[in-house]
Amino acid sequence: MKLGLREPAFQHGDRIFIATLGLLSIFGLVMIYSSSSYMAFQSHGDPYYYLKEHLLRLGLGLALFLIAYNFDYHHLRRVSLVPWLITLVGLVIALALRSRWLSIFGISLQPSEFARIALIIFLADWCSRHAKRLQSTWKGFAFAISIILITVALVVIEPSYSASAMIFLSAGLVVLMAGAKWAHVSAMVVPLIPIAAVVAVAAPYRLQRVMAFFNPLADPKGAGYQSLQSLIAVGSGQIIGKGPGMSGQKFQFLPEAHCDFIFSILCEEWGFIGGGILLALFLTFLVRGVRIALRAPDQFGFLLAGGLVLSIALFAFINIAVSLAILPVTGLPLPFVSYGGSALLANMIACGLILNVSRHTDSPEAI
Amino acid sequence: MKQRKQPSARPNGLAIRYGRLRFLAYSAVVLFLFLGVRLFQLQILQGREYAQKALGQQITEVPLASRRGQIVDRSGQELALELPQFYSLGAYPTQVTNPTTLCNQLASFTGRPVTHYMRRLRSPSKFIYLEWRLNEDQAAQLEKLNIGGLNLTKDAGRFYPYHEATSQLLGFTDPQGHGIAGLEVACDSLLQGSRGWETRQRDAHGGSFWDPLRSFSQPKNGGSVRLSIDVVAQEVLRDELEIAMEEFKSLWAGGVLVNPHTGEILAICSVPDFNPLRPELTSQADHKLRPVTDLIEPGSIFKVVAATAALDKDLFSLDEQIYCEAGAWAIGSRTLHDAHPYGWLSFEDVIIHSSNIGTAKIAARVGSREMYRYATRFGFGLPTGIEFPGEAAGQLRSYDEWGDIHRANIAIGQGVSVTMLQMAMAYSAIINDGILMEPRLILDVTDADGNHRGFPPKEISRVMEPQTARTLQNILIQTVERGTGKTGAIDSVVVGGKTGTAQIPNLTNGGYYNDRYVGSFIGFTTGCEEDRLLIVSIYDPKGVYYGALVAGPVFKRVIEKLIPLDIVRTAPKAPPIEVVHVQRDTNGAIPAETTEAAMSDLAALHLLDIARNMSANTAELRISTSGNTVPDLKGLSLRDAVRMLSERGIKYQISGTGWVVGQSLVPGSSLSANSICCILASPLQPGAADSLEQDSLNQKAEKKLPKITAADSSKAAAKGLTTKPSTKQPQLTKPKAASKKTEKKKTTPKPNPQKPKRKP
Repeated sequence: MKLGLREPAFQHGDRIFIATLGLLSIFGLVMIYSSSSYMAFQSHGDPYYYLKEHLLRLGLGLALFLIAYNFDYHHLRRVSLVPWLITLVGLVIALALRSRWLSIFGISLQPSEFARIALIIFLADWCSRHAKRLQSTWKGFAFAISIILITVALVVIEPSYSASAMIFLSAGLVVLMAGAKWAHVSAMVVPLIPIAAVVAVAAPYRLQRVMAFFNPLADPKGAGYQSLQSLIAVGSGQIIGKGPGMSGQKFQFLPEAHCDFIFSILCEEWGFIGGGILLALFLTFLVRGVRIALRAPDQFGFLLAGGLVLSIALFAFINIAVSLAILPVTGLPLPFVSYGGSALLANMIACGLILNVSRHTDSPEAI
Repeated sequence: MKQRKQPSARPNGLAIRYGRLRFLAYSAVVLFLFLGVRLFQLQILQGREYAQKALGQQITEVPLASRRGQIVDRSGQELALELPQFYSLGAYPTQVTNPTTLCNQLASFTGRPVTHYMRRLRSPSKFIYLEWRLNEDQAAQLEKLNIGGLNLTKDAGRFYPYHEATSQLLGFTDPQGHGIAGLEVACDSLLQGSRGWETRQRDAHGGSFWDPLRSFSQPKNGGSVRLSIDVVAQEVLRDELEIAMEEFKSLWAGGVLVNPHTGEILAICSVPDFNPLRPELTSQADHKLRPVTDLIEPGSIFKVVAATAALDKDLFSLDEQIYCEAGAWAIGSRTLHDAHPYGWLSFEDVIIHSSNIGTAKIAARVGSREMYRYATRFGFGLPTGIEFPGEAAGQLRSYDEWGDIHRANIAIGQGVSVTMLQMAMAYSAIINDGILMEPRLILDVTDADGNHRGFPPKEISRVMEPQTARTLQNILIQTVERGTGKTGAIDSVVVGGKTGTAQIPNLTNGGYYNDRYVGSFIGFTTGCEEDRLLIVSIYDPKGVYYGALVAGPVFKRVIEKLIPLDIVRTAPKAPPIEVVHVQRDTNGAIPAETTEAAMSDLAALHLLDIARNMSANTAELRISTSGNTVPDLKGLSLRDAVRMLSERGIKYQISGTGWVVGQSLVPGSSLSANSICCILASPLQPGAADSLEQDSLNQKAEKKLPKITAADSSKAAAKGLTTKPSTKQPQLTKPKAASKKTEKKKTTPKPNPQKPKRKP
């Protein structure tokens, strides 16, 4: 490039973004081992059980990442409907099997995680093709929303409310980014609020969770238990933490310590310093990801990268907010850090695509 | 983000709404920063609070057990110790696969009812303890049954090598190692040591494990207690009591063997007793050490109180005649009877022949107040001070409540309740020249740090003048020689004693049972290196009930068995005893020259006694003479050999057990004062070891005893060690008294053989 060649042979993705991903994954490995070893020993007789499983998925994820990273993402536009349709089929099969999981080659996968990525890909393509329609007419908006709702509906029936909410939010952000009218958006969102309220109250356990969130100490053994235990984990870490592997809360005080509450264990062991570093990593991820989107060579790239980055950042925010008892307990993993195959694979594919976009960034020199 | 680009700059010309993404990104950044603030609040502002909460639920303090100390007998034999060979059986009730088989098996192990285990298994708890103190065999059998949901763990448990013989004395512990009864509870704090603690990390389900930041306090092991008990004597006493109890079908039988001069209790027990490994199978009444905890009415053995008061106050002379009303004497509305009607009896014969009427008359002259005073001086109605839980003090009503009938009754040992131990200590005072000793059960204690604390003999007070005590000793010796106590007489040793037969009070309806008695014999050996006193009571025997008939033979058999074991030392007793009458001088004293002359005339060895009951100007000297030559012991049983030697006053030293195969002093040779005869015994039949060289024996004798002692005691110690592993099945093996014989000989130090009190 310095030589003034107009056709760069190969352009790397954003290195800072890659480094952030690497660091997050390493954090994940350390924390998964620390938080799961006791439970793994008790249930599987092998303290490394979850670590090994996670490494396997990480390897698989890396492969998918490289695939998603190495072709020209513009080719995706021609087949953007295909992944979405495949995940829809997956969701239907899962529904038929009355399970959230599908087992493929011995690895159980959650189709809903992949549906989110596929939906973002499809919407990014559709919105970039029909941006004018979306930006001007309510029909365009309604089409986009109905695509989203079809997907979400299949996940809701599973039932997996938090996952469907995440799909709805992630995909909705793509539509918003593409320029949907605020009037359309609010016309749709405002009626949703009472519906959401009814849904929340309809199932007693959900109401309990919500109530417990507002007062976790009222019922420390019941619904508020997880929030309280998470607060104890985070708070007792204080400034420098108890030290690697020294968590006391991982001994089954915090259920699913290696999945949903891995951030709490991290804060307990590494303190404010560790928690702060993790927050900074996600902030970096967000900022660099948005930067990639803003520099995307076309609107598809912009929507694709932006949608995926925001989706992952949203996961991170909600997971951490639950750990810090800002939001009610949901059960969403922390991207790249938590144990959990499907989310990891989906996120790796997503990052492969984001960096793929990054590879096609117009370099400053080029402009 | 900083890169600002114009939508028009895009190749496809579409308007890209960068602003939307920027807006969303900024919002996201704000949200993440908000998370940071929350993190700061939780970890830095409220961190300490949460850290406290975390500690509260994650850390648990668990006790660290200390090792319970040992209880040993006077020669160091372990009576109670911790052994790591018991199994505890736990179960997860819901997971037990075959409860019926399991319960039947357990019931056959322990003797508890099957329903007991069934009930335990129905417990709603997740985990229960079903049984403890299972031995290795039983554990193996259980494992063979292959029942699911069980948890067998090996742990240390309290073990009592002498089982029943020491059961009531030592008591037992609960599964956690706390003393529950007997000395285990009396010495609990010392034996227990102090428990330590450590912090352990716990999980949410109550499991706990190593805490990397552990803090702890080390437990302190328990100390050991050395008792005055001689376990060999204890076993002998217990066995004889059991035989007597079965023979007479009595409710229970008890006995106490003491050293009257120090108050040391050498053996104390009662039957029926219990298996200390399974105390729950026996009624609690049998857990009691009855000689300490149970009250009996003493009967005639109490008559010494009236006699003591009378003699001490000089109210009677020994030969004063008392009319015994030919067997029936009315006091007020009641009539007092004698078992055998007597006419006139001398004061001493009243005691010797145990006349109730005569004693009542003595008591009448002594008066209620003095009777009461002497009874309290003897310690009746008061705890003896023994460190044993549940000691009874006895009942002695104050003298101002006594009528004539009461006084008469109390004088003959009815209407007053005592413990056998009190009785033993009271008689000990007589033998101890009038000084009452505190009973001594614990010789010394050693704590885990090796700090040693001894409990020396303790005098309580003087009960009577020494002169009175000696006179009473003589009367008691004569009681055995020619009075009611003949059944307690033993050929090889001077014995004094008294019998007693008391009606048992009817506690429900008042009054006394007409057909229920407690027969007692209290006797002592004297003229030996160490005196011994033994009281035996047979409670409610069927058929015969006189103390002389039920308890006297027990006394005799126990003492006879203890002689070859060297627990009762015989002195060169009477045979032959010469009785010489000598003239008193004008002051009533006996001139030394006279005594010496009398003794040299007879080539006598010992002046045994000076009888006091003679007239003012003559005294009766009892002098033992014997032509002392060394007997041939070969082929004799050890017991016969020992008796032969002690009858001749020859000191001896034994190696081995069984039959005598060699001796260090040549048979037929004459004796010098300090010669010691070493006997070599072998368990083989006589004649089998003829080849043993006489020389080696002589050498042993010359090199004097300590060396043999050391060699032998180490042998005995080795024996002790080899018997230990065989105690795997606690119920089956039992160290035999015989194996301890030799050890006894060597380890018991021989105190000053001379008794100053025998000299006039």
